[in-house]
Amino acid sequence: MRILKYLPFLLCIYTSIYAQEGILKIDRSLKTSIRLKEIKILKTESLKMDHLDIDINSKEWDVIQLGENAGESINSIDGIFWLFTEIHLSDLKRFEKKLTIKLINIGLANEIFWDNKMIGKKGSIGKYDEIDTQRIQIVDIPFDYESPGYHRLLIKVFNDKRKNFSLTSEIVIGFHEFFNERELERQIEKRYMRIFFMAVLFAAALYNLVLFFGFGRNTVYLFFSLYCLAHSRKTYFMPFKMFENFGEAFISGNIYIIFLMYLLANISLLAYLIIKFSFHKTHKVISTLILLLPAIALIAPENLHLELVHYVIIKILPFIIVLYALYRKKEHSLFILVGLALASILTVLDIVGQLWNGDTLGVLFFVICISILSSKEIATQNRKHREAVLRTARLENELLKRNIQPHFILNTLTSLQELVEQSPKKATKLIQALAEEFQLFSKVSGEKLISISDELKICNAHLRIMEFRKDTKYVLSTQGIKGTEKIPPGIFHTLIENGTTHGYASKKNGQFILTKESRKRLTRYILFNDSENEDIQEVMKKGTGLKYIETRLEESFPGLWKLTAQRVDNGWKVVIDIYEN
Amino acid sequence: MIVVIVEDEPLVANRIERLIKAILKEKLTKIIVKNSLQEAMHYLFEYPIDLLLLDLNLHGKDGFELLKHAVSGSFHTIIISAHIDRAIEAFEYGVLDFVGKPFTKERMKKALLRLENVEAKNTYPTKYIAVRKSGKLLLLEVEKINYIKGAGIYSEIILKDGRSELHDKSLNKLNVILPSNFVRTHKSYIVNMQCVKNFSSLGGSKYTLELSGNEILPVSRIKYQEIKKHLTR
Repeated sequence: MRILKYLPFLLCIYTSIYAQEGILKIDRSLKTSIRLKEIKILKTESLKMDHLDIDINSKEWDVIQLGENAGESINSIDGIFWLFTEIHLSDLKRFEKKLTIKLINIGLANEIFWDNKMIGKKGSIGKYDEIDTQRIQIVDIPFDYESPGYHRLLIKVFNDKRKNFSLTSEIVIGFHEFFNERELERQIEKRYMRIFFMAVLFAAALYNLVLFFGFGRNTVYLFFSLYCLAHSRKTYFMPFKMFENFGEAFISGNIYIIFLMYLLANISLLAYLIIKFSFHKTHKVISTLILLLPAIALIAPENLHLELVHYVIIKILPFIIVLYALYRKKEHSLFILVGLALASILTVLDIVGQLWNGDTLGVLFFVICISILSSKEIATQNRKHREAVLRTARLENELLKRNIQPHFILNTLTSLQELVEQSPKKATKLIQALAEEFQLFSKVSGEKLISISDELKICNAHLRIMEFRKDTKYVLSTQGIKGTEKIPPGIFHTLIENGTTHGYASKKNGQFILTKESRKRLTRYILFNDSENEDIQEVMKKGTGLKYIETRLEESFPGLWKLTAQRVDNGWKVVIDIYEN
Repeated sequence: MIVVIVEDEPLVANRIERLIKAILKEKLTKIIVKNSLQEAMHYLFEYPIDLLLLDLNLHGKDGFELLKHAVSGSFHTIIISAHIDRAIEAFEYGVLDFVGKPFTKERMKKALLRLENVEAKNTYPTKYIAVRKSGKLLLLEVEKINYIKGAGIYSEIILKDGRSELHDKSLNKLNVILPSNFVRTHKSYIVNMQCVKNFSSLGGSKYTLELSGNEILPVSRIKYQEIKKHLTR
């Protein structure tokens, strides 16, 4: 990975900077640069106080340590303050290169004086809204002033009260070439890396958005797209080191965008995980937690610790969700857990300063994991879709076959043959009834769900045919049926067909009653039939009819139906329960 | 001739009855229509009949059980069914004919003609011969039959393993439904030609067949040519 390239480079920078105590002495031993370990600090009230008015011998000067916690000391002062140190230059002739002062992470407006002469500045002192976001200031020490002996470095700093972020401020003196070349190289490389990360994340966001629109508007993809987009935007505004350099972003106002994006990303991630694993009971609890997160985030910028708490919460919550999913044996939970864990390791490496931009790399890694998963899912989804299409086609076929079963047609034709020869008027009626059933079937055969009134029409047409054939009077009545209820085509027809075929060996009257009962979270259809067949279970099991009904119900109400058939007084009944989702 | 029709659809039963009457005319002495398997079963073995016309699917029930019993009877069985896919299976159990629904008078006539033509063989070979033995149904594999001997109105089936079973059908009726390798060699014998070991002349145009079980059966003079043709094939 490209990032590994930076590790030796970063180590090189750190080893080349060594600290000096007291007055900094620069001589021929300087190879690249030297870092100030401490500096004097003085708070002044007046905004207009000139550098010439500063008494460098005043006893009010405090000494602060630069480096690790310097930012806290510097930023905790409101308004104007001064930083001062003396530097001793010797063995001048050996300085063939220009000397440069480098200010790192003094995220405040300032003016830099070398022996009372201003050599550099950042932002505008006193103007609250004109703050330069430049993180590193490099100021050349004019050649004329590089005379041997003691020199004064005085920095006027203006703090505009936005003081909430810790800085690691450093002041380094070294050769102009060293700073410029290395720094430039580093900055450019980092910038390119940043653009690369952003582009990859943005592409992932687009990819998931396409998946969202392309695959049945599955919100899982929408949330993951948001996750990628938020991280892409966050990366753009992000300072180069997590936590350490928030000051810079804070000064430019980007911190709010970063927070917003960070929040959006994490909420999207949580939403993604919750929808992905489709929890039922926990759904509401976790959703509420997500809503609470913005509240935590709103408090966060006021206090670093709360921000840390917030950070921990939104980093840990996904783990809790995924671990719970793993416990519930949800599909892909282990894969996501591994992705999340490895991504978190990269983030932690970033926080402890071991891996530059590790947080973004972690996100990138996670995005790749999820993208692989999404692709796999889509492949599965496609396969399932194809299977469903095939199944629907098969069912449509089956429905038609149920109606035009060869023996049904052949038997009907035989009856018809007799009628044609013996009673042509009745023959016409039978042909009409047969045609009606066929017309109705061809109308609904392509549908997954049809209205009960259509189904009842088919049933009645079928009963008319069977009346001719069996010389039995069949009556189909309904109770509680509105007619608009949707059911898969042919299910009651199949049951009625079973009834007429098996049920009436000696009876000359047949009764079918279809009842609908609406219960709590449940719609129940009961088909009663006063047939004399004893072994209804056997009949139901034997024929392909039951299989057809079950497949149709499963297609339209997956996992939400129940079918029972039983012998009751004076006949048998089939109960179909359809549960609400 | 007494004919029993087993059919659950009244219109179809009417049609069969009507056509049978028209075809058999005065030959028909009685015609009975049953609409369920139980009723039919009861009737078949209680009363003497000559022909059974059976539908294979009665009130959704498989008529094959009844078929297996029916073919063990003394009468011939003709299937009239829409389940033409089961025709071969029905023939394997030894039905005389299979008439697919719907059917014309001509087709019905053809089926009934098979009753009279005692020499013609079925298109599809019979595989099983059902025998009723002490109230139970016994299915004998046709290829295990050595020869069949006439015993009055019954037949005695002698199997290759030496066992013998009595069948209610006469030799004439069995001959029609048995495969072509079964030849009526004598007025009292039907022989499985695959079991013939030797065909010898005793002189004076008297011939005998020696079967694999060393049985020696007489051959009728008029069957000589036919048997010779069979054996040289």
